[in-house]
Amino acid sequence: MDAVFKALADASRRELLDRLRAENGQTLGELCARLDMTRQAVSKHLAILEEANLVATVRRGREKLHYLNPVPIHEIAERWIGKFERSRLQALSDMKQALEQSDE
Amino acid sequence: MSKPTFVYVTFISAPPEKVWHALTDSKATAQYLSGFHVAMETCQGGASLFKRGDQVFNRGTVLVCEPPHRLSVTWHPELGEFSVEEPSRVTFAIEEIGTGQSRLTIIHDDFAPDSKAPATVGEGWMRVAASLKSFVETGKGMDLLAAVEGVNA
Repeated sequence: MDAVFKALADASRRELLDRLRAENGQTLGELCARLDMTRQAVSKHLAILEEANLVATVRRGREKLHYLNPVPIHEIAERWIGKFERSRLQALSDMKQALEQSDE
Repeated sequence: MSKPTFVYVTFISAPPEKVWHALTDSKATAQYLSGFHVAMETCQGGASLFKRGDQVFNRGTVLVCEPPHRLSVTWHPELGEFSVEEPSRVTFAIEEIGTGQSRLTIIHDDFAPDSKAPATVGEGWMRVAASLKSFVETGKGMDLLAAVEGVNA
């Protein structure tokens, strides 16, 4: 779990996770093309995310595809969020989203 | 070869044989699927049914059966709008990492072109992975339907 928090404690790595959430299964090249980071930096961040199991990789021929793996974050949520709290938090989250959208 | 649509990875503190048993044994699956269970003929070409009681929700066929490392089944809902679509595919890969530790990868892919099904997969597999891990490690699964029922409460 330390690895998960360490991996998340960096804006660039969170940005990478956001990119994968928007489009799962990207190659290193695809991720680099849309970010203002060197290929080397992206590669290093991905390794840390993979080490923390936040990114899963699948080989397709010669390509390595990167996927956002939500399981560790789900496990953290399961640890600290009780089952009755979850629906209330979901309701709050829905409300926040609805209010933010109506502001736009 | 199509790009996998969903990939989930979880580490489980148990050898691959135990994870395999939890995935394929009907009684074991009932322990962590909150009222559902899987009835599977563990051989290539065998049937794989996802059921609640006698009602079949998913009717699949076993494509790959290599105990205790690789299981691939077709995924074909019996009910609802996706029952008319071509089946998709779910693969479970279990690797041993260190002694008595497994890495379970769940891949759901091969959806029909233009299928709307991927949008509905959502948190399902993630919850199954968490409940399976909990069951294998502690003997007790999680309540998969808690969130859903909570909303209705």
